[in-house]
Amino acid sequence: MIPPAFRWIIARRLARERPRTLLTLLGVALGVGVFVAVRLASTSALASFSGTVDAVAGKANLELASGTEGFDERAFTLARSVAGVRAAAPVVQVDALARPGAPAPPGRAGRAGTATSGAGAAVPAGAGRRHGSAANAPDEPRARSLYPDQVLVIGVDSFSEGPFQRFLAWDEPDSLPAEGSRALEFLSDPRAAAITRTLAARHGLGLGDSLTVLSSGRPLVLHVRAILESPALQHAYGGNVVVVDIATAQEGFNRLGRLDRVDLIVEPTRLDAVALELRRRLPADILVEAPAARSRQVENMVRAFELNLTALSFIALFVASFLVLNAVSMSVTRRRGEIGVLRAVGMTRRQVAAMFVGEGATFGVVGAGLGLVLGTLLARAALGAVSSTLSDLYLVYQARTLHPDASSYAIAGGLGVAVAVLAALVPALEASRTRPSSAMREGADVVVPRAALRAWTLAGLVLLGSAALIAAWTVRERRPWGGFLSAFVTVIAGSALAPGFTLALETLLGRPLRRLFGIEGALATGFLRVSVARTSVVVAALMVSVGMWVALSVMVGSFRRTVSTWVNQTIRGDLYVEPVGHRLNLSSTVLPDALVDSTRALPDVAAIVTYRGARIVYGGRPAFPARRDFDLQRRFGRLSFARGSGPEILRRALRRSEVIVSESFARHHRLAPGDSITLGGGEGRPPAARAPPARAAAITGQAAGTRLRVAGVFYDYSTDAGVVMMDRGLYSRLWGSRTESMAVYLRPGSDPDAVRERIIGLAGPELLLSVMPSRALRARALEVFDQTFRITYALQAIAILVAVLGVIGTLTALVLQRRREIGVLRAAGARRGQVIEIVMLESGLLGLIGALLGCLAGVVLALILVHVINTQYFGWTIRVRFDPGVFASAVLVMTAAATLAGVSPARLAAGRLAAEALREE
Amino acid sequence: MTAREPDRAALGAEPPPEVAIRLIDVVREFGAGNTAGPDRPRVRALDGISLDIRRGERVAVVGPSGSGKSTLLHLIAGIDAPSSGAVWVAGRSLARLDDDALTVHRRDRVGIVFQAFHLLPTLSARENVALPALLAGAAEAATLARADALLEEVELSARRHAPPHTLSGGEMQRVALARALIREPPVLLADEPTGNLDSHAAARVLDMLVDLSRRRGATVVLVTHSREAAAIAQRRVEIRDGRLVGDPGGSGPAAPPGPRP
Repeated sequence: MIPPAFRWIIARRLARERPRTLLTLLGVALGVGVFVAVRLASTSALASFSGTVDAVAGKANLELASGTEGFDERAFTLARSVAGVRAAAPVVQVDALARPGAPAPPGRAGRAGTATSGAGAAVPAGAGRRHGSAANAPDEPRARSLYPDQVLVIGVDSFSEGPFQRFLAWDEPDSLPAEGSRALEFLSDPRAAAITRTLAARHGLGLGDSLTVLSSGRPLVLHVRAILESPALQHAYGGNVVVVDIATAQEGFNRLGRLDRVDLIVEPTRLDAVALELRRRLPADILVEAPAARSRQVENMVRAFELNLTALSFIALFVASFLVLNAVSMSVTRRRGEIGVLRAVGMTRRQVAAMFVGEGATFGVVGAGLGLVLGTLLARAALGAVSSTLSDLYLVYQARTLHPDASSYAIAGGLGVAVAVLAALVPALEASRTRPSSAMREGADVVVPRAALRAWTLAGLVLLGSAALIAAWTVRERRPWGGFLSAFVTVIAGSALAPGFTLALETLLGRPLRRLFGIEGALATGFLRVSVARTSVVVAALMVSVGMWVALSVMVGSFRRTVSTWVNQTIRGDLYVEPVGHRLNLSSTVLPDALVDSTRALPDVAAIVTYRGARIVYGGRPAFPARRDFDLQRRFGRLSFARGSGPEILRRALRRSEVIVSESFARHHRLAPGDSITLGGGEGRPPAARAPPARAAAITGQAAGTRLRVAGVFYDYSTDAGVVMMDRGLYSRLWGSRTESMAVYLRPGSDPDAVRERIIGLAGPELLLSVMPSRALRARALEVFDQTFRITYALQAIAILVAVLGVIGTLTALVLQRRREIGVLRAAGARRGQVIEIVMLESGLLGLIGALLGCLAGVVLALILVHVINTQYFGWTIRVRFDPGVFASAVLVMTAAATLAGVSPARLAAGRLAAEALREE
Repeated sequence: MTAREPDRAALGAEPPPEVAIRLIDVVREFGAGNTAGPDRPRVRALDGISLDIRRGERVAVVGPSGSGKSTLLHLIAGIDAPSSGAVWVAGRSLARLDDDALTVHRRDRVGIVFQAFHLLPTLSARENVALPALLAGAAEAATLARADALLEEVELSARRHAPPHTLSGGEMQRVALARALIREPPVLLADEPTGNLDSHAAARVLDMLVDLSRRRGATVVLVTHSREAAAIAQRRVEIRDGRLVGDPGGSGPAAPPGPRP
């Protein structure tokens, strides 16, 4: 039961002081809301992936899988023969664009594009998902309108599917084409497809209708022969699942003789033994794992991204805690007299503390409750941004629906309450120490003794030093949380320095303000001085917001400049050519050799650099091997290396069959030039688990466990998963020689548009190509970059909003507390306008001081973000540049916002309150 | 009672049961000005007060403003602590009590009426009265009923739901009186209870104070510089510059053994 003292004193005050209560609640709600939104959006994106994995795995409890290159289909026969395997089913699986009905008219679609080179190629992953195009070419939105949807096409062997029971849930007799295990037999028709009920409904498709899918530039027309009713499949891949015969998929998607997976049902008691046996008998680049392991790999890959978003979402929650601290501090100050009376009539210290902790908890519980609702709404908006970024950066399916999970709500709600209670604890304990004898003066402010001020300042400096030590230790020891801890300690240090900084600036600005604004300026600074214990809390909150604002702007600005320089260095070809759909499937898309050769033969073409890339698992993390022609790269490209001369490294790598690795790959796997890695038959496994090379070669024809020396480390910002680049000869030995995209270098004086038309003409009407000028590709790369950070800006804006709410709340409370002084001012002849001016000056001054302290904190935080957190999680080198514009805008915006926040308290001070105070006197 | 040199040997001596309040050589000093450190000037508000007050006795402490009257009352209430000396109330030495025990002392053994009433503005009259009992963990319904009964005694039944700011000064002080009595304390302390009241309201409050304390057999210590207020006391103690200068009733039979001449 809630004690009467709380109900009567705190609850009634909260209800009576509605604007202040609502401001604080709104702050907490925003903090919790942002946190829950980010968490829901990222967990939904991952849940969408793992949901798809589970749904298409059916009853399989083990699978054989590989990276995007797939593996030899003979592995299926081998797996089936292993004792303990009850059933095996081969699978080919591709992401494809889709449109209902017949293919788009080739004349229009043939010039459109959706793709670009992916993570393994020359430009940032996803850089072409929605690119611009040459002046006279249809652009990406056009291509999207022609093939508006994205589907997961699964090729299965109808004779093997029976025991897996994944595509057999025919609920409606009308759609039942056959019975029992023969249900998928209709798929022997090479154009037949079964589609989910969701996909059918989305496009109004029925039995007998056509659906065109496109994964590698060539449209494949399918006829809907069955509707899949399985509930799990309606959520897999957003409900967009198409099942076809495995031969159709292999032929239609360049997978002849290859499989993406073999799903197995193994006797549960023999699972480990079977897995061990399969690992022994199969080449080591085929991963033998439970289906859920795939979800875990993706989770590992996006963990850094998710963690950073979560850390950012903490900012709003952190700022909200200042709001609660501030609100409860104000409450304590204003009720100092009441506390004295309560202590005098028998309230114990514990009861006093509990009462104010209760106030904080009320803000926490109600604010968190509102925040959970707000967060769910925000999550719907954030899902698109988060999911699309994950899809662009990591090639994870884009989530369509939100999966609200109880743990996200519990964590966010619990954090909201905990943060509010912790924030209230400081003023609550301070209130409990109030002696009844010294507490009889109503509204007495807490005077900060000089000794306390010195202690706070000293503590701030010590903490700042500790933050530096933690950062240095993190960099040396590579501790995952050290960067965040260092940032947190910096923020606490800034908060401890706030009172001293406020007084120092007040002293510094006092005279100029007096000169500028006369007696009003002097009174404003005077008020600030006497209430420094309270105002420094709001200065600290502003410092946190501005600090993060400045730090993020510096980091993102520096990062963008670095990436822009890199993009300009890297994308140097005049035209980039790839099949439409390339971006979805990377290496499973193919540019025909004939097209590459005939393009090379064009008179205006000086050179062609072909690309190929794959996604593999290396050392338990996804990685992207990429193929380049090192000789051409040396002559035309401008790869920038961490150390050494680029052309020299490439020449040496070519001569000795060595690889070059991206900076993030080197950092994740602790590699330096001269070290070795094992690829093509051993990635992701400890050496002992590798299969003997002879056996591997017998099945796959690949070299197994090829040891490769690292010739150099190059700067790359396409993916933090890491890129291993090698010359075409070496790559072909490991993964074959197909080309998925190419860069075309033109002779001086050539017309890019004319060459572009020639290439499209060479491809013929059957192959849909994306031919992009490098300018468009570069623009798209930066567009992806900006989109990635858009959600960061949104989080930042909310943190600033919460801080401004804090200014309004603090000023209102200060004004209420000071009503007698204001009344005396009015009685002494101050005009209404003068009182308003004083309060707004004070407010603006608070904003200015908070912003200046925030700028200082921002510099430190930016250095931590770039040199510690980024290095630790992403492994990118960012050249830091402090843009004066960032600092100027932060100071101007925050000072203006704080001044405006003073309007309402100022009007209150000059109006009703002044009159009341005069009457009281 | 005495204003003479204290007998230090008697410090800590437990008073006999008939003594409700005993002060022995009590000194209370306050720091002055804004400077800190050992050189900071000290102001001696009470300078060696020794005093016994018998159970059921009504004592008026008089003296000019700033003489130390309220400080004396705060020491007895446990709101403040002496710089040196001992304070015994209802058989307990306050020096031996920790903060929680002092809180219980204020809640259960003394009732306090302030000059400025100090009612909580968010609470109604009956809630203000009920507050000390509820803080002690008493059941809410029974406590409120008891508060109503007390309000009836101070003739404020009709105003029991009124918030303090709608009450007159006299009414507020009667609510404060009822609040001071809700725990049936053996000692009732009143600090200038009529200081903010007109003569009519003051007379009414004083009448009630006498009546209620007599009915409960409570000891009353009344700090005042009002002649009318002092008149309700059986004994007058005068303080000047922190020292006892006059105590006509001081040679009574229940005087403590230690500090007596």
